[in-house]
Amino acid sequence: MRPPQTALLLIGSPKPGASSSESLGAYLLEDLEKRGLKTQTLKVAQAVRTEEATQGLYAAVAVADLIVLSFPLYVDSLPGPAIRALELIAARRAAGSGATDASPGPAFVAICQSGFPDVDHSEVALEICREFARSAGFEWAGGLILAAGGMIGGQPLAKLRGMMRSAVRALDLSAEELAAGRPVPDEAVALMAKPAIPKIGYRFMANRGWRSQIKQQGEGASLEAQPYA
Amino acid sequence: MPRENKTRYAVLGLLTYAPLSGYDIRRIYAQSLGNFWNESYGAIYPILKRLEAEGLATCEVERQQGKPDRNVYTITDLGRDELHRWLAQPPDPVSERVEVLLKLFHGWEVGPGAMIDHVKQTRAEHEALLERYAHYDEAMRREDEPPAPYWLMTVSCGQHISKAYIEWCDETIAKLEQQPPEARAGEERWRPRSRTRGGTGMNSKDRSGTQAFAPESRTALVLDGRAGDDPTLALIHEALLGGLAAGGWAADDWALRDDKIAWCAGCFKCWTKTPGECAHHDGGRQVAERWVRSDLVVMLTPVTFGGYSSELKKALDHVLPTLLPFMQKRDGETRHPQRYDRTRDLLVVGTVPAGEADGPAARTFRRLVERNTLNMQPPRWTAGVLESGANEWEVGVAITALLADVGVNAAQDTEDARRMEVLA
Repeated sequence: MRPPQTALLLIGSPKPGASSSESLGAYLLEDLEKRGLKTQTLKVAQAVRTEEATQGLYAAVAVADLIVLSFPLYVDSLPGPAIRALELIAARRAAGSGATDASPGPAFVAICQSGFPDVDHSEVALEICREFARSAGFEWAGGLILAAGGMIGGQPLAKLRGMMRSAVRALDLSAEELAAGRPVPDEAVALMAKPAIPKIGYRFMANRGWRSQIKQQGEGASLEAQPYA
Repeated sequence: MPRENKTRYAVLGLLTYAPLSGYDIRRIYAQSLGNFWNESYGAIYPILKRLEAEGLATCEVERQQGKPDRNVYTITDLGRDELHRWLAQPPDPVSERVEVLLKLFHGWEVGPGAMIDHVKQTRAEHEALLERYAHYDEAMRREDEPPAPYWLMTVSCGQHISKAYIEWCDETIAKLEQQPPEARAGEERWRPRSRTRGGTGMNSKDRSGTQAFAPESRTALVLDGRAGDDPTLALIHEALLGGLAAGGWAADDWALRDDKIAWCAGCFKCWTKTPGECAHHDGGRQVAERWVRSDLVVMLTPVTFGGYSSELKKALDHVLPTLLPFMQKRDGETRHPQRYDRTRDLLVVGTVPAGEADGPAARTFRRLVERNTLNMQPPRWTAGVLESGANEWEVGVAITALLADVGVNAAQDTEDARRMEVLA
């Protein structure tokens, strides 16, 4: 892995607005930018929507030395549009259409965040990312898993520094190494996996949050409705 | 196929007695190992092929006058070493599935009448087993074969278990006869939480809804995740539909590429604004409904970087409303509870390029399916990875075995069964 000059952030969340995946990826990208890298950001749900947008995705991938995919865990894996983007990129690479696509692949990093307070849920998703990198001829530069991602709530990480200090430190360390042409360090992986609050507390807060949301809808509303029973 | 790795040792063990054909093994298996190590009909032939491929057995074609040729398998030294290695390892903890106990656990729902019949049937089965064991016992004692004492020990275990079952059956029938005869007796004194907390009026349909999806309706939702032409997946799809039909199942066959299903946007409205339903009106909304109304979900997909294709995933992401938003700790991990009491079996088939059935992508795929099952809680599940280019027969055998894993008997056609034996 050589020190990258350019970095592309692919936001794997299908949410049209702000997302926790974007918060994490954007923080890393800003850090890389401060270290002199030229950066670009694309939302995959938009990039796979039209042929024109997909051409933009190919062009962005073609000039990137480092690609960061930041995504939420959906049903134990990547969200549908993120998989679609990876399928398109790998097919493009396999077809080798154009000199740029035939060149050595960029480094590839994945950040997976899930609403569960346990990191184990996301391990297979990172394996999938690693397998994608192998298929596409990209250089796997490591992955980070953040549990309890719901705590970010789409806010910029800088705003949440205290609560998310381990995650912030993990991203700082990762940026430092990646900018130098080295993979994500083990220390960053461990820091990112460190629970921001005890799991039991997170579950309690999350359950209370859901109940309060349904209360706001007035009497008669039930989170436990069974419309297809 | 979850038990394949252990069943291979059952087959290897039988080959230590003599060179045997697939048909021989099935016959011997049914009368010996089958008493305590169930295996689906079609699983033995693929195992033999794999043993041969791994150098654990050799295969010779034996010509027969006026009959089809026989493939006769012989264990190799390597095969015997592998068997010895496995024999030295500690066995897995005992895990059982006893349907009569499952039915009895939920027996309050229908009252004691049906339960008494079930327990009587269980008693009769164990009486018959005891007779069979007595026959084995007598036959083996007559044999002067060195392994006979070991065989007898397994028979003795069966005798102990059946005797205990018969004692339990007598005791249980007496207890059931003392229970009030009506279904759900004493309901007014005790109501399960899920039946009283609704508020939307939906829950009041709970009982009739449950009956509408009773197992006898047996519908399989087939989520076809092919993006385009894929001859192997086309064969798999055909074999699945054929197998389901042969087993008496209805297929809700869904070619996902043909439907407009928007990506799940992660808005969580299906948990808060329209609980249980996707808030967006497109094909994605149908996913949860068709999922919930099925008894078995079948997913087929090209293995894509070790995961599912985007075509399959665009549907699968919409199963979120079948779960409740709450978080619970279960088996050491946090999970969402199921929205509905009843869950469905799961069968997943993927294809990989030739020669990659045991490669990293296939391994990741199997782990992914396993992770899904931890969250979806299917009563039974199975996963298979086939190589692209597999022929019709190989696909047929594999799919028959996978369907058998989830209780679909796809090998009912005797002509098909005979053909499989001849081909093996």
